[in-house]
Amino acid sequence: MGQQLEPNNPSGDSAPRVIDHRAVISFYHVDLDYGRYRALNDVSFQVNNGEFLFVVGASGAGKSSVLRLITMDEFPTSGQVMVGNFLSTRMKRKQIPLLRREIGMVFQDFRLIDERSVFDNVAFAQMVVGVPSADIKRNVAQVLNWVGLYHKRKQKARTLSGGEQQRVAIARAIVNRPKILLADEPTGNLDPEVSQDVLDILFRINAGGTAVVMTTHDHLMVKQYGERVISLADGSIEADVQRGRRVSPSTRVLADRRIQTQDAELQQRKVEQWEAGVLPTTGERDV
Amino acid sequence: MYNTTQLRHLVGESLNGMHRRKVSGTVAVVIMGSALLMLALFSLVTINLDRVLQTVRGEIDITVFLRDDIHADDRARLRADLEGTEGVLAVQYVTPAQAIEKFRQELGEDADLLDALTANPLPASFEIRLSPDLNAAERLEELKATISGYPVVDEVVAHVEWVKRLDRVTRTFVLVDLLVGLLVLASALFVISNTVRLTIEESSTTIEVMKLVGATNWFIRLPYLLSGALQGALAGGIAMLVLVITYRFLSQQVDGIYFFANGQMLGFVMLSTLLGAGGSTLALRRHLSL
Ligand SMILES: Nc1ncnc2c1ncn2[C@@H]1O[C@H](COP(=O)(O)OP(=O)(O)OP(=O)(O)O)[C@@H](O)[C@H]1O
Ligand SMILES: [Mg+2]
Repeated sequence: MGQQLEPNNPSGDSAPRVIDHRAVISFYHVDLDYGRYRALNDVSFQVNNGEFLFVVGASGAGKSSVLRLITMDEFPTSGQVMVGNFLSTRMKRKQIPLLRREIGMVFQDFRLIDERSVFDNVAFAQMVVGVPSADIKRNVAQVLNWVGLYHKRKQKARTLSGGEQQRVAIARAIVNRPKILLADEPTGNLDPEVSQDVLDILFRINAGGTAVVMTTHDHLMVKQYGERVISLADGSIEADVQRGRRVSPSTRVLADRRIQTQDAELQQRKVEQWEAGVLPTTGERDV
Repeated sequence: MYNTTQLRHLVGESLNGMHRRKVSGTVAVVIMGSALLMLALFSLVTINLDRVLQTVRGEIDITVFLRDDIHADDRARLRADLEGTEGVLAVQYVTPAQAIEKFRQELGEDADLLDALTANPLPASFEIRLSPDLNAAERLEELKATISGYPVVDEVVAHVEWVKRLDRVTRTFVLVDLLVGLLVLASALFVISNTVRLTIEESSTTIEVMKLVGATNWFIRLPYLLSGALQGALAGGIAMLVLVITYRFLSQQVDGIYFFANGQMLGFVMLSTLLGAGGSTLALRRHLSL
């Protein structure tokens, strides 16, 4: 995937940030059939490195199908999907786990292991790929801090609120520093205020250089924050709109408040990024 | 292949999984154990019944009563002919004196009845022992007819009707045994694959999460394979233990029960282990497309 960058590097170790603007995800004329049912019809788009993409559409429009094609849970009936260096047409079954390691995933239903601790849930992702235990401890602590849940690391996942569970799921999704984060209606089960929190975290992850693809049918949210929005209807792309992200003042306040609760170094880094314009601010990229 | 973190994870998951699924794991072992016990018990019953039938068949014989006026040469010729006949294991000549002595022994306490006799009424005879596998009723009838054809032979006693009945019993036994065997085997496999499936479905979230974060299929499978194998081994061991105890008890009451040799028991436990591991693999493949 060309330039090696530092996706969601919350503590921001060294290394100058370089954003590679080449495509990390490409769909070329993708059709997807489930049996005789055509779920996606001639879908083409690209997602560049570091981009934040909303995919909207009614229920059944094919949003989740798009994400499943990206994770190669499904393969196009015709056309081609490219994710990083992986091509759907040349993919071997054995390579799928490798692809998954470059993608973080978040779902509406969180998908945590209920009876395990918050820490274990996140550490799981690192154990699977064989990160040394000392590093696991550090990395997990870091991401948990980052989503503001370090103090709950010992609690069982099922004892957390929905919003907290989703933050754990996000921590798990990013702990391996994926280049891509997919979020399938991550706010679908959360009330508006908590949704705002989660969305904010996703923005911050994106600000760290990770491409984010998020599906939703919350049009209001999209209207408010949509930088790039693909609208699906009956499996076809109805519109692919690119515009600046409008960050509401309330988001900023929320973000700042959370930052206060996190460790000073991290806060410093975030403020620096913010000021350096890495995190887009109101109106900056408005069209 | 795997580094230390991953190995620790694998071992941890196998043990942890068993710990977490303690109840369902125990239930699975007990259910599997019962299914395996049925299977083993069935094999034992089959083997023992088969041996009883073989023994009964081994006791089948033909008695050829000779005419009183038989010449020694004719007798020798007949004997040679009989010994040369296919399916004949042994031919024994019984003199009238031996016959009455035998009869006396058979009568036991009532033997003094024989004292009333002035002369020995029993003829000399050949007792023919047949090989167990060569005395179907038709063969026996054939043999009886051939032997009766000798002029020196007075009478041939062969329990053809009885053998016919034995044949019928044997045939029914084999058929029923085969059917029951298939049934027991099928239900054992069904029960085992289902219990394994249940324990696996219990952890379907874990498996889903593992796929999500990029675990390879083998890495996901291995802990389940190991705990499946262990469950199978435990279940097989328990089944054998129950059988051994039952056998110890029964063999004090009844003699001559055939029981598994040590090697066979070991083989059975190994087979159970394979069944457990195979069951997990199958359940994972069928229900989680792994
Ligand atoms: N495995 C499947 N087999 C058959 N049909 C499927 C399958 N998965 C999805 N579909 C169908 O494909 C269409 C698109 O499904 P998809 O899950 O992508 O929709 P969605 O936009 O995510 O909807 P929602 O907002 O309800 O999650 C739907 O009509 C759905 O019924
Ligand atoms: Mg969906």
